[in-house]
Amino acid sequence: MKTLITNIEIIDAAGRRPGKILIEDGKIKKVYKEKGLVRVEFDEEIDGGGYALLPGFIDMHCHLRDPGFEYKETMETGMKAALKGGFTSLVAMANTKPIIDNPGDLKKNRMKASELDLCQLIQVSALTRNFGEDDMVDFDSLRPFTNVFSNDGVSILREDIMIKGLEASTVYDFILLTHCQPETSLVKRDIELLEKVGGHLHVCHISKKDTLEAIGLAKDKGLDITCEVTPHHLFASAMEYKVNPPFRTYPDRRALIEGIKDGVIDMFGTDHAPHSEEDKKKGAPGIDNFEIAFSMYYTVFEQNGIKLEKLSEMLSEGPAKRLGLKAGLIKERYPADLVLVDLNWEGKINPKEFISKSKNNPFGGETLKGKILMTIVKGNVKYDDYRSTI
Amino acid sequence: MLKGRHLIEPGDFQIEEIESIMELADNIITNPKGYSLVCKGKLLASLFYEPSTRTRFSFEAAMLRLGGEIIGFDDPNNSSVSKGESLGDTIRTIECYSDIAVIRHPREGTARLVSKFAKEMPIINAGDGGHEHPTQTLTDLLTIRKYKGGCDNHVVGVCGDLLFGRTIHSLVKTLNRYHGITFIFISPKELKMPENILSQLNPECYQETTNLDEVIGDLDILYMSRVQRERFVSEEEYLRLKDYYILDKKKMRKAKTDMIVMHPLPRVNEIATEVDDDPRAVYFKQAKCGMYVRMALIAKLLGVEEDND
Repeated sequence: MKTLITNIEIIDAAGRRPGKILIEDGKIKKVYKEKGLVRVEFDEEIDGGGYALLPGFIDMHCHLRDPGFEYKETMETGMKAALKGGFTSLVAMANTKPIIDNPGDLKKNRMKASELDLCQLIQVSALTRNFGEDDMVDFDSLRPFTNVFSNDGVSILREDIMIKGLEASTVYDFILLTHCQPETSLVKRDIELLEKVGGHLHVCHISKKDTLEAIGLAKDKGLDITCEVTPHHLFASAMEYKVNPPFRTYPDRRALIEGIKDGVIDMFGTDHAPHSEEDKKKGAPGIDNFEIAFSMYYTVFEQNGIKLEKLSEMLSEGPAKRLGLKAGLIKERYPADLVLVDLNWEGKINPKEFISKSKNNPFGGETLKGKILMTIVKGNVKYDDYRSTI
Repeated sequence: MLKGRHLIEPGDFQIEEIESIMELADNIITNPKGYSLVCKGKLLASLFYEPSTRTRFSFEAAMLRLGGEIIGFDDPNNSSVSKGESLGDTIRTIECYSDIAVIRHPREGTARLVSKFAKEMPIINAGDGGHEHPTQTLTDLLTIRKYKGGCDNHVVGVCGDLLFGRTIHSLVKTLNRYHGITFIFISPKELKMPENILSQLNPECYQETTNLDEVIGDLDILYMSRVQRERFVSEEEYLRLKDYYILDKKKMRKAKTDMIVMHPLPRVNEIATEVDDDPRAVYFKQAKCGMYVRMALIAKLLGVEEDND
């Protein structure tokens, strides 16, 4: 099956250019410059209508709630919501029920994802058994199935556990993701340990100016550390809505935007965290945001005059690089994970219209820019709000 | 992880764990609504074997503001204790009903002892004799964090009864685990900081003096304490020493403009009431911090704020 996508502006971390692309066997077979005729056989043509085509987004951080909390979200509803938001790959956290801390449960989730055939799942494993403080997980048996380990949601307060985790990240060559609360002091401690024992560290959803400064210094020293930021911490400050980490001050938010410009922040992670209305009332922290994450990022970028190439880098190439995936660019032989976007769309968002099973999102009524028209995973159209409405 | 743990003395928690409680307290302060139901359906047993209205109210208000409920007593004469029931039996029974317990007891070491009988129920020590009062320490730390931006790099003056003041001992031991803390201990010779505390400190990080006036200009934090009548052997000695170190407007003029004055309360006359309106006086704000930090502590020990996203 060969698909030709025409009449598009290609935008990725490498630049913006008009073009056409040919997809074959789930991969980008050929990227054509727009000028000049394309003499090629194809089975299907998608006329991009002059809209922007970006590499599929890779979400470095989300909660799919499956298994165990299917009343909040299932893998299917989560992935469908993600596709609506332009995400083609998802790094899903391990705080399910049971907690994913063994190869059996991890393989089950991978199997479920491949049967659903929606997004690509990168399933995180817990770092310690049951997120506890007694035993590390069995890296030998888990590492063949994932290269991402994290106790996300539970901060690693004990130094000895952090040291073991960092050491294992070198020995088994994986990325250790940390959720740090208290943020700055724990990140600083982890950086000290990283300098001492080495390892591959990725700091989840940073939210404070001081944290950013500490990570900037660590990068200057040449340590292997990356970090991500969520759409909501970029978009708003001092909001009374419970999320972890909490909404910070306006200066913190400004610092995060500067951190993107000067390259200290490597990528985005939505921290999509669906909760039922009842759980939210009881104080569960988190925001359901797959479906508007791109528009939030893009709106902030527009307001601050940051280029679209940078946006694509943070949504696709950045996480791909960190995860060791050959993906995240519109380039020959790369997977045909693609998103067609209307960059001129502007409108109010309504969480009630979410596909996601939960609707916990405080930004209803906000005006955002940019809309996902179509999402393609490995050459197959998985979300289509474009041709279906023509 | 703090879920299911006991807090008998501040040393039971690592600094990172203490800081995680502080951060949660910060979050509760900025977004109290978000936490008003996190303990719904949970029960706190409040076991006060000696009266302490202030501490008890603080704990009970904390639990209620988290959406939880309370059972307990503040007069052991009205409970089975008066029938001669052992503490161990009381705790075992109470564990059948409640999710967490707060205990205050006049005898030193009681809280630790009691915690050994509780299988899964976290125990919080709300003061055991002259021994420890860890939630007062957490209160002090939160106050310092809130009004001085953090607990590192301060010159801390501690003034008053340093010999018997258990809140002071706990605070000094805990602050000593932070970075860049210098202590100045200000007391009459008779009420000096005891050797067992001093021996835990780096000699370069503290100095002792009998004169508050001379050192007040160097301080970032001044922690005042009451000269407690009940700690003295004789009434004469109490009367002789109690007014030794009184903080007034005149002394405050010599202090830094951003120094804060703390006091665990109740005060007698060691801080003149004329100081109360000084913006540097944060002792009445400390009480509010105390409730918030207890909310954070309860939430952490019950694990309702551990499983986040």
